[in-house]
Amino acid sequence: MIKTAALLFSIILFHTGMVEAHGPTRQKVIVKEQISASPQAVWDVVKDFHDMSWHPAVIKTEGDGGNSNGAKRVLMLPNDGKIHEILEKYDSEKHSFFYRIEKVDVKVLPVTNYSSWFNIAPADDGGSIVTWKGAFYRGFPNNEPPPELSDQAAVDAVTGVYKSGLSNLKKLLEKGS
Amino acid sequence: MQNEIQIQLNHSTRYGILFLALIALLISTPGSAAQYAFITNQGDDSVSVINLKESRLTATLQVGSKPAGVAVSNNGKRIYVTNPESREVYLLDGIKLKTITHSQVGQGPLGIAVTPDGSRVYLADWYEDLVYVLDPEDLSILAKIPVGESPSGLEVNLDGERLYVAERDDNTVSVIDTHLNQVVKRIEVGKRPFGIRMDSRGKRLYVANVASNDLSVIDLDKLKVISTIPVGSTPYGIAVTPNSQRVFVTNQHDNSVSVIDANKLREIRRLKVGEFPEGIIADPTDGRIYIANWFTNELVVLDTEKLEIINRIPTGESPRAFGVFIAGGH
Repeated sequence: MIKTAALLFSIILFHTGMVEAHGPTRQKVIVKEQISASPQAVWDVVKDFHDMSWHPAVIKTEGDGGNSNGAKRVLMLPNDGKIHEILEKYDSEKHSFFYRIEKVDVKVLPVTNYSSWFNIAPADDGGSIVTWKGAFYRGFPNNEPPPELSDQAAVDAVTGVYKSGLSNLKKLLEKGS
Repeated sequence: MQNEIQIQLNHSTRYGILFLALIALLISTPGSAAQYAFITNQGDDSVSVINLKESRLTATLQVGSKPAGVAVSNNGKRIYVTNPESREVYLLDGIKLKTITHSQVGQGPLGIAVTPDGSRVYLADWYEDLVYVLDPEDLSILAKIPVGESPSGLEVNLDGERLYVAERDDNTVSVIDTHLNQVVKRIEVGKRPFGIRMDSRGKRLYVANVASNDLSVIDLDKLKVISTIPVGSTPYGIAVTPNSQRVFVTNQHDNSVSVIDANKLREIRRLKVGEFPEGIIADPTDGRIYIANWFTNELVVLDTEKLEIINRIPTGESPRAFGVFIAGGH
């Protein structure tokens, strides 16, 4: 009974985005993509925190604050999915930024306490190596998670987001070359 | 040793004072440098044993599932490791470097600490909001102490009479009387306190507040917060130098360590150390700090005088090293 109440309470908190409780094990995902375009060319596509149109899952990006620390954006996804994100660090010289998710329904992305780095480094051949990294906990903060909110589900979902995003970025930059 | 001094005193009492002074010096000298670091690797269910003198990985011990918390006894002979996923505690032999026993405890064992004399082990259960008191040799449960929500970091004071518990989701630190096995005082700190560490004199407790990006400083005589010091983003672990003059805090989202002057109670330097630094501890003798970088799977060795990184030693996957991971460290 207490467990059920605690579970209900945590679900309610989730939906108001208030909860910071999390599962026992933080997960990490690293996806790299080699792109035949200069770091500056890649950066020019991704550098506006309020334009994530390069990612195939993002329909629209809304928000304000430019590219300064603390800028906020909302990623609009299919089926009314939304991800609220905040920019924590931005370095245009190093072609790098760090952001975290402020609020997301675990039905949209099954993670909590998510933070992420996006970085572009020069490759030996004049092209770029783009690295997208995430640190997060699974969507279910307690023991015995349902399969759709397990550690594996969280890793799979984030890996999918990174892979589809980076392969589309590669396509955009390499087309016509 | 004592016989020797006795003989000397009998020989000539005028050397008595000199020898007493020598004894005082010997007693006040901190213990020897730690031999090994025991790093819990949450990503591959193992503990990396790192030889600190040779700066290399000596052994990898398989433990339960997703190990996080660690406590090394003062004499270095007993190592306790929590496995929140498999809900087990492992007891390792710190000399033979092998598992002695393991036991199922609670629903989410996380923080762990051992008393200075090694007579009791305390374990924080993240889900049950309990502190378990365990037998240090067979890990049997001796008592359960109800505490605040999501207990995490634990520290025992120098005489073993007090246990301090960070209660992450209550924004408090509880003080437990270890004879009564109950909370006798609750202290409000910053937001989401997780890692805590006492200085080597037992005078202060430092508390890393993950969500308010600051450090609460508790005076352990008054049991009051005497200062709140802003640090980097998402502070997680704390180390205090043997002379208690410098405090180092890992800032997870800033990939840095904040260096705090313990007298001025402010940050004096910030050092980039690598990605997602987590567990951190000061060697009891040689002016070094060890830091586990969770994202890049390495143990960073930092010189506390020069404030320079002097080595990076590979660990297993996703090192946490949450707790006292070397003997006699703070």
